[in-house]
Amino acid sequence: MGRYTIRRLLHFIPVLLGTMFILHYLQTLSFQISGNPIRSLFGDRQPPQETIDALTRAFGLDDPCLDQPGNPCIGMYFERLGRYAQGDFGTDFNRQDVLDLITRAAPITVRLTLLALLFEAIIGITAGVLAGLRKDRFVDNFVRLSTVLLISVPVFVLGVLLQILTGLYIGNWVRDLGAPPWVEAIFSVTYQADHPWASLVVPGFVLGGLSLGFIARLTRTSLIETLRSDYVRSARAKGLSNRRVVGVHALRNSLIPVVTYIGIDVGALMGGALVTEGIFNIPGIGGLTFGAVRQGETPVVIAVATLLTMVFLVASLLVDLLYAVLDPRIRYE
Amino acid sequence: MRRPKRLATFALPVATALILASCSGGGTEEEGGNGASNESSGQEGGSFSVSTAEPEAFAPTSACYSSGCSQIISMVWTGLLQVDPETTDQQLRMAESIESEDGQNWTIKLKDGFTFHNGEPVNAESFLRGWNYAAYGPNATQVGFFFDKVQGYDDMQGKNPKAKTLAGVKAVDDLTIEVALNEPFSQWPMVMSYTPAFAPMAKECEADIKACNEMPIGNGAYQFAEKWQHNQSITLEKFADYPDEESAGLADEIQFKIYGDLKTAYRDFQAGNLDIVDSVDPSQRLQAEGQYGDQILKAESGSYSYFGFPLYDEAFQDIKMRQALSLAIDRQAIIDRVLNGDYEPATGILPGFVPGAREDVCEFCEYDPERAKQLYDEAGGLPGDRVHIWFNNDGGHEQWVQAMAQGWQQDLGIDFEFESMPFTPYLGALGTRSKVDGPYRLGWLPDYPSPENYLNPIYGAGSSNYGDWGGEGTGTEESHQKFLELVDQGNAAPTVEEGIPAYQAAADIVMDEMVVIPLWFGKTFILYSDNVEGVAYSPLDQILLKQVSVVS
Repeated sequence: MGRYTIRRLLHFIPVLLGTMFILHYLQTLSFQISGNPIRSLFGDRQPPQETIDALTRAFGLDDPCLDQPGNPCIGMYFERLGRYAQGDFGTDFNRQDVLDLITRAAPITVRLTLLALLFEAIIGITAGVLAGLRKDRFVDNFVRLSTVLLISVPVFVLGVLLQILTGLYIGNWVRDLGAPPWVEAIFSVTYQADHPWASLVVPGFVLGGLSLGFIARLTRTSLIETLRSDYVRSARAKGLSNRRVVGVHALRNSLIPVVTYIGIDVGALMGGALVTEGIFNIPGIGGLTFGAVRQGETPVVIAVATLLTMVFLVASLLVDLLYAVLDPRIRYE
Repeated sequence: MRRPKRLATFALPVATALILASCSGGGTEEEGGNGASNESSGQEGGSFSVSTAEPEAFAPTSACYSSGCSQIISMVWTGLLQVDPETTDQQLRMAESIESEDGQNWTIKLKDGFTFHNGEPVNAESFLRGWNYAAYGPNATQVGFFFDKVQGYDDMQGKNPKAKTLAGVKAVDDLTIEVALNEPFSQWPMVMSYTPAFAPMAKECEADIKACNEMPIGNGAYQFAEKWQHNQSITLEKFADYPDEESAGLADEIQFKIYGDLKTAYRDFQAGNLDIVDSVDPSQRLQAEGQYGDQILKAESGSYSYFGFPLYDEAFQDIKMRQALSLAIDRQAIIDRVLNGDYEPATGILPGFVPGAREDVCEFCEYDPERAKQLYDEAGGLPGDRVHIWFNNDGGHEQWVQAMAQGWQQDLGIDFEFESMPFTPYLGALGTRSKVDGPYRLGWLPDYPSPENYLNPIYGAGSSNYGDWGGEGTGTEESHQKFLELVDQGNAAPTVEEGIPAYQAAADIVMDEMVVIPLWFGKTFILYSDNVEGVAYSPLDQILLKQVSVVS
């Protein structure tokens, strides 16, 4: 297991370097094709050329290769690698350290992601197991119908609907009642810095909603499949209690695809919280990326994308290691 | 123009900078900017909250060229003077007097007794510190070019500049500054009213700009109560040692809540979490009007939208063609049906609040399809009866451009094709002054309340004159020359009033030549709770937050 982990960790290096190169190349291409983003900082006003030049120099965008379409600017790429290695992630166009921006935004997104995962795992798996055990009965139909509903509603619709329902209708009523502040925070319209967990409960549900539906359906199908397998039949024949058969033998195995899904979802949730963060005014990674993309602030985009690549890599490694725990037949040598 | 606070509302610029909060010390609400909504009781104390977008920067103040940060900078810093947007009277703040005999050499005397929030006295040196920092090329500030009329500015530009300080600016003594310009410029005090560029800088700030950005040290009526909570909030509290009664604020505490999306701000308002929504999202305006009809303030903003013509393109060199295209736009209908009625059709190229603005001076800005068709035919039509319409597609312009284009199709019988792209490549294309082959959209937010600011930066030399008015072979060299002369004449006039006739004549040339199609001027849509009183807005200004009082 130890050697396997080390080997996997070594795999990270080419993946990271490759990702960063692709990002870097896209950045240089965008500069080469659409032009210097500095000019658009001034809106419709034409600033003097020397102002543009000075800003271009200050942000390190004065490399002549940025004027040659197609040139991959290898020099700039290695320069960036060197700076990243020293922990220098550059600044955005407002001279905020990118590292500061990320360290401010990341904890909030991590909390949001954790809450979303919690909803997904607890509600999703429970619903899936219940449906799988009572196939074609009322519970199963109910779960199937409600998850289809959850999956088919776009996240911005679900988000705004829940925001208005919990934040305004229930929220205004709760506030009139004079509930304790943390309860009010749960039913607030936006993220409240004073209640970093409570005010993220509803956004967490919205963020996890789509995956919750998937996980319930995945668990259900997987469990039904496993319950039909030979070893479950043997277990039953041995006279094991239903609880042990389902809980230990069947469920552990049928959770493998679910764990894979959750693992990949961690990265997707962190990067994809954009819409949810926008609706609930949560200052997290999604909002940071969105703003940076719109403003053409490539230092931020590249740093965040690199970070998310790391998250994906680590999450998938953890998933692979979890397989061994869940399925004793899987061994890593 | 400054960047509007939120890119999404590029079509509907939120507000402009220059806090010129008119005087409201002891409840003189009558003097509030245009559209004072509900009478202020002038009561001091209390706290209220107002929505904003994440500001760009506070230190150096000269890194701020957007309405979001300049609104807060103007509360935390007090500049030399403010300009009353109504009367264009100069209201001296930090300055005791600003005088010049020839319009070229200016003497500024400072008031004594002002201190920074950390206790440092504000003197001539503090101003020089800020100005030299702003103008020094390698510092790469955004508004450094505000100093380009000052002697010695050119020596501070480039990679390795010759000078580190402005040769034309001298501190004669502790409270006297002398400024020498390259040539006479009567509007110089107006330029200096842009606080982010001309604010003083504390010593402590110069030593650690980064720390100062998080916890600014200004000399204004309000100070930061806590560090800048990025993307969340900024809380200002009254500065106890502020010496100027007239420009002090009413509320003890003002909280700026930062929203990434305007729609969320409105919902937070509904939940009772917010007192003032600085600009309600267009999609929520109808609902807001139904629900909070008497708590809405609609006021004229300084934003100006227009379509420019590529005069280097032969197809647009016939003035009749330009007139025809302008006549075939039903401005009012587009505003009513597509733009929620949030704009005022342009009948000139200067908005109403600018001194010297006149109504109904643009002969070809009304809707007259028959005359348009006639002129279009007389001009010989466009090649292939086809027009390429240029605009940026990341500012929410599609719908109204579509409406405008369909109008042309209907009234002039021409086909249209959109050439739309994101803002950066769009500006790049305009900058070539050859690639753009059709009318192009642009807008303008003023920096200071002067007609000059609506003329020179848009049509002057080295400006956003992307259509190349006055360019060789366009047949407009003469009129452009005349225009530049008139603007210069206005600039050289000893006072603003005396310059107005020249500026008006310059504006007339723009309309006679139909260099651009003036479209409309913007309006704001501010929503406030019954917790606050005296919410007012001035067209150049944002909300006059200093004179908002809290209902106890």
